[in-house]
Amino acid sequence: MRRNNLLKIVSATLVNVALIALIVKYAGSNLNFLFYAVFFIFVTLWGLIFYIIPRLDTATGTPKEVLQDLAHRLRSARYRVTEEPGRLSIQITPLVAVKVHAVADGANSEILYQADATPEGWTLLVVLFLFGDGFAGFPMALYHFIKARRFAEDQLRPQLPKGGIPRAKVGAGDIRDRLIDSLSEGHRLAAEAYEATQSRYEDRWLILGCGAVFLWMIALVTLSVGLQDSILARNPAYLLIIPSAITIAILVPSVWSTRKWFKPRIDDYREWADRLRKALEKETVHETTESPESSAFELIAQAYRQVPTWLEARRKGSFSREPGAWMLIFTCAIIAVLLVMFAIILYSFLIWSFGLLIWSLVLLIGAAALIGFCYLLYFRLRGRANEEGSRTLKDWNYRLDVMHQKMVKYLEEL
Amino acid sequence: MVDALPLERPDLYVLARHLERLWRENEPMLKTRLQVAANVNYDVFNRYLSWMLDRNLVALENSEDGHERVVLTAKGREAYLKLVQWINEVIKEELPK
Repeated sequence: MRRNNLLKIVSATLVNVALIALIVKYAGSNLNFLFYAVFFIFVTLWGLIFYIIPRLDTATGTPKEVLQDLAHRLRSARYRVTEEPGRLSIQITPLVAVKVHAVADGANSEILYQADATPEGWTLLVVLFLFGDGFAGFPMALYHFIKARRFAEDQLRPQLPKGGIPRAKVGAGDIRDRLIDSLSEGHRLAAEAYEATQSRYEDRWLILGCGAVFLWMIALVTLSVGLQDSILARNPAYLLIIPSAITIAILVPSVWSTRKWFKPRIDDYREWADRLRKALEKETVHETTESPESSAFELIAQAYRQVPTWLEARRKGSFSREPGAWMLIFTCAIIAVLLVMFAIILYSFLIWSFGLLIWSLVLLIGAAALIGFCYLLYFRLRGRANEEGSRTLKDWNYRLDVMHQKMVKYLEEL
Repeated sequence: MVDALPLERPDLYVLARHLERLWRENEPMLKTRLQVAANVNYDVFNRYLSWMLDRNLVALENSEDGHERVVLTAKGREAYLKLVQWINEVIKEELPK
């Protein structure tokens, strides 16, 4: 086991022991201490699963060379691979991902792996964590680790270069390798844009559904109270029909506009992802038959024009892009609501005293500060996202223009 | 022999289509098949063929059946490789998150 991993496990265990000791000392007479002790153990194990980075093997070549070679091999095997400085991120199932790290070890590279989750996987883990008190998420986290480990052992290890990275050769192989890399990256971006937009579309349906139920109930209560003496109140059917009609009248335009906005985008991203996937499949099996696509090169060039749109769509799924910040906003908002509720309870229901009034005010100020913090954080996230969006578009168009000029100049000089 | 109006400036994508088809075929290809694969009319095809022949990107071969076939030269393969490399480099640069 690597020293770093051992240190992480030892430090996590020490923190756990210290917390449990504190709980036993101060809540020893309360039977709940057992619950908290087990809870801390589960939460620590949960975190460790995604925190430790086990060693897999040693590969020949510098970390950059090894990761590039590995990325290409995995793309050829049709895995979705994201290259990041010093590591790769590979999606192995719709929920599970693996991070592969390469660290220089003399002339070779030490290869390490780390369990990870896709945005959908993280969402599920967070939901299980929040609603299962830490316990329910643990088996799922363990499943991620087992899948990651099996993938590393069965798929990654055999792909690791031993005895030197084959130098890029000028010939059919090299052209095909580059086409596969470009198609795979294009497909990854289109598929991620599709998944992020589809997910937002489903979230919107959920919000509309909850909103409709809420609206219906508000309308029902308002009518029941407001029309007590009216002729309408004598027939209970009206009390059901009118709220339903109000809800439908508001819901239908919302559903229509949601569908109108999302559907064409989802279809477009899916179509692009499918086209690129088919071309990638064709390339990986060395198929030479005629296809509806005129050429892989042309398809890549067309797809690259769409990249800023895909990046923007992916970025809009910002909860999964910055889960930490969104979790913080969510937690602060819940605490702020609780503080306001406590302040109201203190002020309204308890025996009035100057001390309690001060406490109510303190709680309200705390809630206001938290809401202000949430707003600032949200404002900052949105500002940064917009800035990134415009920079991406500018940067990407510049890259394409430079590439196009380079190609045209080359052809002119032939 | 190809006899067509000279092509002033080839369209990058149409040219890449020709080169890619020949690269995939990996052997001499009938002119008509190449024209269909490149999805251009006969006149345009002849102009592109002439342009590629002038620059030694492709060569013509006479086969036993009397049909002329087009084959990709080493220079043509290298030209296509360069185009593919450049397009690959665009995505290889770090993408924004």
